[in-house]
Amino acid sequence: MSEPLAADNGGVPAPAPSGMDAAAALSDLLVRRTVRLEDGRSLTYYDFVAATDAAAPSEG
Amino acid sequence: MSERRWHPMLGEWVITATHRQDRTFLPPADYCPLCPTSPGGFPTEVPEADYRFVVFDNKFPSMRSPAPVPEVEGNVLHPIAPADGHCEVVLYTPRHEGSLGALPIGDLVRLIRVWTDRYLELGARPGIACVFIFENRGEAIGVTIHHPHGQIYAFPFVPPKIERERDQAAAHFARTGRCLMCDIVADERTDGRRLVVEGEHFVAFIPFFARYPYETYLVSKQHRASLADLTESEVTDLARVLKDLLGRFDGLWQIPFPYMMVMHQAPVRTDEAPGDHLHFEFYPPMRTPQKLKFLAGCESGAGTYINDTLPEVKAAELRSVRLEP
Repeated sequence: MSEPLAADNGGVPAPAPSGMDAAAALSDLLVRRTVRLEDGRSLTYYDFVAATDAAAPSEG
Repeated sequence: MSERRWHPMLGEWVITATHRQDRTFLPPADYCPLCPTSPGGFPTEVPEADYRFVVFDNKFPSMRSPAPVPEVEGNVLHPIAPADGHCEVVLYTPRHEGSLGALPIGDLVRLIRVWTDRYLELGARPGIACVFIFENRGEAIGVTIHHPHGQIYAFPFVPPKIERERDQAAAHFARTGRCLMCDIVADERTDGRRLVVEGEHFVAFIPFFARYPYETYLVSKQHRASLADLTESEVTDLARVLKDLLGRFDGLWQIPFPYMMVMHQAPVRTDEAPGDHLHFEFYPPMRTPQKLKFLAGCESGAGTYINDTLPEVKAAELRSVRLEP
């Protein structure tokens, strides 16, 4: 085995955006529609805002 | 009924879920409960005729909120608790045929955003300590419905494997000041023999310590505690590397390759430790096209895995798979 390299960021955890920031960013991308099923369970349809959808990679 | 029973010898919870004995078992394709309900057809779990992605509460959950009162009383030796929590099903596509790896990259990007949304939403609910995203693929794993789907469990405790992994990462951080997974990624990239696919931001490899022949880790090259920390370009690269890896699995023997895929990250957004590092672990159960790797006496009874293969050899096999254009 070779000696470990320093990781890309030196193995030091970088500060992360807050949970609020991440949730807010997702809210700009996602369109959620939640319905209640007859037996009381929750079901959420996910769609995406048109601009985001168009920007998503399409190959593959 | 479901409840949590404490295992005093191992110091971990066991969940009973007796109603799951009656869950849907390998229905024919034209009676799939996860396909959209078609006009005039029988009602499935999804009322609408079309969708992009759907997430819903599992009809046969191991945990639910509020949880039922336990069936029996516990005692000091045998504590018991309600199986509070959430179990969700994530449908990848309205089409019955297909797989996670068959999704176009754009849909994988969208799915990663759905996973991220569920991670944040479930993790913010009262009493939830760990959001665990996973997929079981193939009858060899015990899949009971073939429609392409994954699952999410939101636990009221941090499950023991994740807790042990975090303990090891914390000890490494205390000793070195570095993230354990960052060091593992750096070592695998330097060595190179166990790499399977490498993208700009993510890398997949069979770890030095693999317990299954084709056990593969898919890891963020930068230190990211959870899905919620990924940038747009990292999400796209994750989709690309994930699709590449799954294509190699299916291409290896030209069969739909069974696997368990689990995601390890900070258990919830408000409980991040320096050693939490987002990664996927794949445990394929096959060791040849016809032979399963059983978790037999030594693995199940002693907790020590015997791997009949060398990770360096298996990684080379996966690297050599010619992907469909």
